[in-house]
Amino acid sequence: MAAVVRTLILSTLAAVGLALVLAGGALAEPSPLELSAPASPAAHAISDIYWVVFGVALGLFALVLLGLAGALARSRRAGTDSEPGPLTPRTLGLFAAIPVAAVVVVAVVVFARLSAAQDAPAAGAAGTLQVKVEARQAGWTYTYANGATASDRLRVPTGAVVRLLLTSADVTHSWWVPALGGQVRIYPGETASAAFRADRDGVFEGRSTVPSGRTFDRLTIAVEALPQAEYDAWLEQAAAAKGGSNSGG
Amino acid sequence: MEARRSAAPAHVVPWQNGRVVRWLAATNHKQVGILTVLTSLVFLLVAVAYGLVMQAQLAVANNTIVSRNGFAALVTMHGVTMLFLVVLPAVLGLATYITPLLIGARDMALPRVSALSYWLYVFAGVLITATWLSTGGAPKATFASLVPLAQGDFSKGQAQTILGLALILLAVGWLLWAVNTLATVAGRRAEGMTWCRLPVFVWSATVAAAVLLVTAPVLAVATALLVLDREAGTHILTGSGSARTYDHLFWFFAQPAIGVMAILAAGISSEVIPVFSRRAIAARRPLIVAIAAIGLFSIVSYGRHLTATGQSSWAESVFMIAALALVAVAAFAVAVWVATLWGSRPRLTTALLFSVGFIVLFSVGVLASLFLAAFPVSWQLAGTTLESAQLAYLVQGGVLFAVFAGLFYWWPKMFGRVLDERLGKLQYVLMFVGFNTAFVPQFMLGVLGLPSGVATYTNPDWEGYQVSSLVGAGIVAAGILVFAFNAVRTLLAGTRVGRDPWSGDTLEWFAESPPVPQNFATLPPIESARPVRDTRRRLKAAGG
Repeated sequence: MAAVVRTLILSTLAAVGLALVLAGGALAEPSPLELSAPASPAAHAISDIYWVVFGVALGLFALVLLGLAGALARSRRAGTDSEPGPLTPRTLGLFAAIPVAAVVVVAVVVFARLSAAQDAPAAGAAGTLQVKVEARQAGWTYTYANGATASDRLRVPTGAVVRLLLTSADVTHSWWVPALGGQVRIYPGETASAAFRADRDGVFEGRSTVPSGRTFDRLTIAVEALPQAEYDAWLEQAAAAKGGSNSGG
Repeated sequence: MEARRSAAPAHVVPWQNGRVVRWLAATNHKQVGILTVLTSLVFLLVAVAYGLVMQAQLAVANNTIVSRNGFAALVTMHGVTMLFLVVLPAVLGLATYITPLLIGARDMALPRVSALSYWLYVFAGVLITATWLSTGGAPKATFASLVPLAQGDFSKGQAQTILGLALILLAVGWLLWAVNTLATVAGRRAEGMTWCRLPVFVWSATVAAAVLLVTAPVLAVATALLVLDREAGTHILTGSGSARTYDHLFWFFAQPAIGVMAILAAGISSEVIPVFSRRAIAARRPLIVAIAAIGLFSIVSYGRHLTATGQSSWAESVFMIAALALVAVAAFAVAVWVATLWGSRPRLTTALLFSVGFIVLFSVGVLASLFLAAFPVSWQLAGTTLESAQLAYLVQGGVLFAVFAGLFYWWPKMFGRVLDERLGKLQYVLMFVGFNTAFVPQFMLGVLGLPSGVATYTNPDWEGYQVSSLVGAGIVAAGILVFAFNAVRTLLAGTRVGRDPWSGDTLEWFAESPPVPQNFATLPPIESARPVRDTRRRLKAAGG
């Protein structure tokens, strides 16, 4: 009996612990429960799917905890020697139906929001800005159509569709800027592509998620979304600087 | 025995009969199983030490107590050791110990093969750990030996080659375990032990063996290609597309290997929970089907580790559906275990507590995999510490808790002495609290955008999470030390028990504790899945 009471206390502690974790997560700034503030249509769509998955996972986990707490609490009442019989087909059906329904919800939401989560306009679509991105263990190089290059950050005009053609000069990397959308793996010898549209100005941080050796922690990404006019001015200047350095060298 | 010893003092004992040699030359499944489990516990101490050093480095932003190279080596060694030298061998070793006893057999079908599997594991484990001493130190290309990072241009020195050779030895050992287990279950069941009466654990071992039979050779081949490239300049895994090919081969092994660990953990829990709930498992056949389905879907869903590699939406969808099916069948199994506890009168032994802990942590691991199965979300979270925390909840949390449940349950059978329950409960509380304190913050850091495996970070906001993980890891380590103390103390002076200390259901409780070399002098009639319970009731009816 005392053991059962102890277990009840422990399971209450577990529930309180879960509640504290969720409450603490909700209050912290930035919240460790939500994906970084979406700044592109794709990131918005992924965030929507994320919350559905979060709800489904939390709901099922709550059922498990409730079931365990109920099982341990109920046992106090049982006093007979007889064994409970096997589960009825109806209970079994319920045990199968609840998880299946839960994962079907996840699948439906994924398929419903998939095209939005990809937000990948056809290559060469009007107004598409194409940038070549080369990944190296030591950092990133961005090459624009007019020959301008940059390695500190990727500058793009806010609202434009940006298509990246990503290659790696050494090992496998990935391109991941959470606020702008999902990651893309960059295998050496292949050209990966990614597309995004920043829907507000700002600097968005990201990084590679594929371990790449001793400089992995420094392989960070910064994408700066600028108003079109500022972007144009920067691009012209960068191309001129590039041209100047070329003729000088 | 004393009399015989004094009667022939000058008699030369054959070398095979020495106390140490008897263990070193053992082929009996009980000795091999015990050796495997104890060896895996030694590597557990090593893995926990790696984890503590890593977490100490991560506790503070911009920390430099471990060099970047050193950290990459720790990441690799922690992953390899925890998965391939601790958790997988622990469950396979338990299976080797208990499977013949559960089916009423004298031994495994191929006793020398049991011993070979074990010594391959020991040799590989020593090789892997010894890479710290090689030129350039331990391997640094993660436990997946990422191509091309693991190739000669980027990983100089011998460590990566040694790791590759050791992985091939391990894969061969697992393949031999699979063949041995299938042969034993198929051919060595006692009379009356039909397939329908096999304990759930034996079904788990059978499914696990079938999965390893298919997947272990793939690891051996993928690793051999890498080793050939490194040492013989074959250029098999160079050029466009080969890194992708290698990733597919590796995960075709690794995802099902995690499934194998989960399947055997499920088998352990399906033995422990009914006995301490004093009833039959609530739905035997559906549970067995679910365990088999976990095996199947863990193979088919391997590609969910390859999201965002540019594969088609069709491929992403198929892998997602398999991964979702995996979640659904695992959730069904959880429901059956909870239902078994429901309305029963559980005896809250340490073994049952660890099984309850297994249910909770395993559920978290399974449900967190939804974030990685729903592939657009995986585009955000794959490769982050959320993914490593999810894996930890499945493997170091779920499966390792089931291993401890199995150890507390079967220890009296193994050694004839019962582990101290009070120390066991202390260990349980330390490990459960410590584990969650360590890994919940890692889920959160992943959502905040921290990839796993980075040597340091600049954001001071993350220090609180990392310090919590360090404290939690320390508490887990304390729990494991409590177990080590308990194990040694019990072996020296534990309470001796008879054949059946827990009122068990299955045949191992009919054998002596510890069993004689051939396991059983006689067997009870086997007329159901719970022959020992049947016998107990028959005796009671006859006596009363």
